[in-house]
Amino acid sequence: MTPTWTDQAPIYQQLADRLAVQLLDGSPPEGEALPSVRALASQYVINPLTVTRALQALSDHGLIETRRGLGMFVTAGARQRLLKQEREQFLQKDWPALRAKLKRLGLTAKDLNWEST
Amino acid sequence: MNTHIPTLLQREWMQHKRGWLIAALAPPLLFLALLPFGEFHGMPTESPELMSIGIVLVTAAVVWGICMLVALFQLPGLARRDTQDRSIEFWLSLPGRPSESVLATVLAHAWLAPLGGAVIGMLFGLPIALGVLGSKMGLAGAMGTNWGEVILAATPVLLRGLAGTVPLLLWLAPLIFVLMAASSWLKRLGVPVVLVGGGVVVAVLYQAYDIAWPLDALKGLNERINHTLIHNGPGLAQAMQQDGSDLVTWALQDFGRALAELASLQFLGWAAVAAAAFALVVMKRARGG
Amino acid sequence: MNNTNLIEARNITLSYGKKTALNDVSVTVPKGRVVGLLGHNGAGKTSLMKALVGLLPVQGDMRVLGLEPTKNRQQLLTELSYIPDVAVLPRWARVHELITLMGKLQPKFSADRARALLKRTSVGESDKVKSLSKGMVAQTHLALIAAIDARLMILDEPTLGLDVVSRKSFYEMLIDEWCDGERSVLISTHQVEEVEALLSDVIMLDEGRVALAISLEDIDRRFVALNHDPAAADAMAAAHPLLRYREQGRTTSLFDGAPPEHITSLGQRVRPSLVDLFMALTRNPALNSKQA
Repeated sequence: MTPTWTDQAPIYQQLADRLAVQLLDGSPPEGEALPSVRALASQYVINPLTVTRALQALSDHGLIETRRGLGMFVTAGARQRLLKQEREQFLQKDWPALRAKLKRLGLTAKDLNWEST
Repeated sequence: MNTHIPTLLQREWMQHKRGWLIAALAPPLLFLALLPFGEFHGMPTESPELMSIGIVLVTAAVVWGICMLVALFQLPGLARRDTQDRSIEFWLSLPGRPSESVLATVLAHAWLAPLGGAVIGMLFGLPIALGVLGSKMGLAGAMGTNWGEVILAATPVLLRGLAGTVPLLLWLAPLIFVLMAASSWLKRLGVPVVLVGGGVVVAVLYQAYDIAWPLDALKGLNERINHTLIHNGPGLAQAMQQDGSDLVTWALQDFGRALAELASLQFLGWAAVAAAAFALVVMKRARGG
Repeated sequence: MNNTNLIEARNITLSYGKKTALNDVSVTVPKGRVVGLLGHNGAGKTSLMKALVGLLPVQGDMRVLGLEPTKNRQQLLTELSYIPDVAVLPRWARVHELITLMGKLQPKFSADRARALLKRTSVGESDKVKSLSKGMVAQTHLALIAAIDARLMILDEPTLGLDVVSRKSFYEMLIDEWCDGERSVLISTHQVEEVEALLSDVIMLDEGRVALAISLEDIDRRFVALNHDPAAADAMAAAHPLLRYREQGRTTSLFDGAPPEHITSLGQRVRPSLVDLFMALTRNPALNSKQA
């Protein structure tokens, strides 16, 4: 299924974000190349030039690098950096709002079913 | 320079083969079917060979004539054929000159299809002749006819006719292209307007103003057209009475005379008319009908 | 003229009697692009496409694949593929007959490829065109055209009459087969939202003139869309946006170029959609009355 693109950011940026999330989830695994521009364009049904922009954005953030003749690979430590970045983002921005809401609703840690899932 | 005419001819075959086959096969088949029920009068009964030659020639000529009439009747409408279902836009999106397309249509319908019809008529001619003779003189007598002589004699005349279709087409060209141009530019009213209007103009010029040349030109055209198939009719009748070689001589001479009529001012004039009308048809097609 | 541009048109004007279909239109299409040609009815999209394939003579300089369209029409047609309309296949023909004829007329046509593409549809080779539904005729036409190995594809509303699944299938084929960096596609369509992600460039025609000719990349850079509370409406209006529209209680103002800093801080930046831009830049009386 082709995902729909929101209006929150340019399409290339949204694609870059999606690919970053996949990187975090371990796809592609360490040492394996990212799918080619054409493969990604085909998968998401987007113009290859947009895919190139998205990959460029990831490269600019140091998350991926091009190895000549082999393709694009996740840079060493990228996942850790990305994880750290996402954690910062969550703790600084998303968590305070969520915690305030939990307090408002009177929910405690016990109600949260932390261990399951 | 590559031409697409062979492919365009193939298109005509694909689109119209059913109609062509019906026009060519129905008459002889019908005739064969009705044979047992008919009676024949007014045939040269002295010689079964002569009768057979006549039947073969007539069958070929009739089938050819029917196909030719059908073609002449359809050609003006064919000028608008692709605009009606808008497929002209499809053809124009592919390589292929509009001029070749128009030419292929005329060649296919007014020359090749009737020619095919003539061949089919020829092939049916022998069984039909057999059938007619059989009903007159019994099967034994019919089988006894010298079919070799029949074929030998009919062949030069048939070939003369087939060859004559080339100059015939050239003389018919002005009529064909003028009517096609009328149909493509003026749509349904085109042909009636041109025929009736043209006829009126020629008649008025002649009767009211004593201007005879348009009428004479048309008469001359008609004569030339008749000559293309058989120039020297009496000569043919005479040669038929004699033996085979005279027919070959007759055929060659006759064809020569028909060709000679092409080398005339008359032909140039009519060719110019044909060329102008052809240009009009091509122009309309190039613009998408 | 730049040799890598597949289309170079400068100052093209086309008039029919009193009506001017194209007015000083200049268009450049490099290789490896998917260009969307947008415009309301009568804006000149079809006229431009017909001019590009040599069907209409125009004033001005036009080179398509290095050739002058009207002068070298036959040669040009062997190197590009063109869909004027997906409803114009000859109704008398069977599909395999069309394959045969196209194979002989168009040197870059591959019958095997056409058959392979047709297998993806429910159209059979022995079907007569007149027995097919509108959508199936469109699918057949697309399959036949896609089997031409052309450097430039000019498609006038190729997805008209197709259902969602067939449209998707067509877009996937477009990306898979035609986006190799060497070929370009010029496609006019009304389904702007659907094709937005496929395009690399867009040309908007408005009453015969080019309202905007820009790459999608540059749209993100040049145009600023700010989503804001209705309260900020007056401040926004004072900065002269191109267009304002309301959606679910929030208003979005669209600016050509960055508005002053104090305006930007009043709202949240969002992506200007192609549809919004199109509505802002082209005249369509029916829609203008709906503006915020």
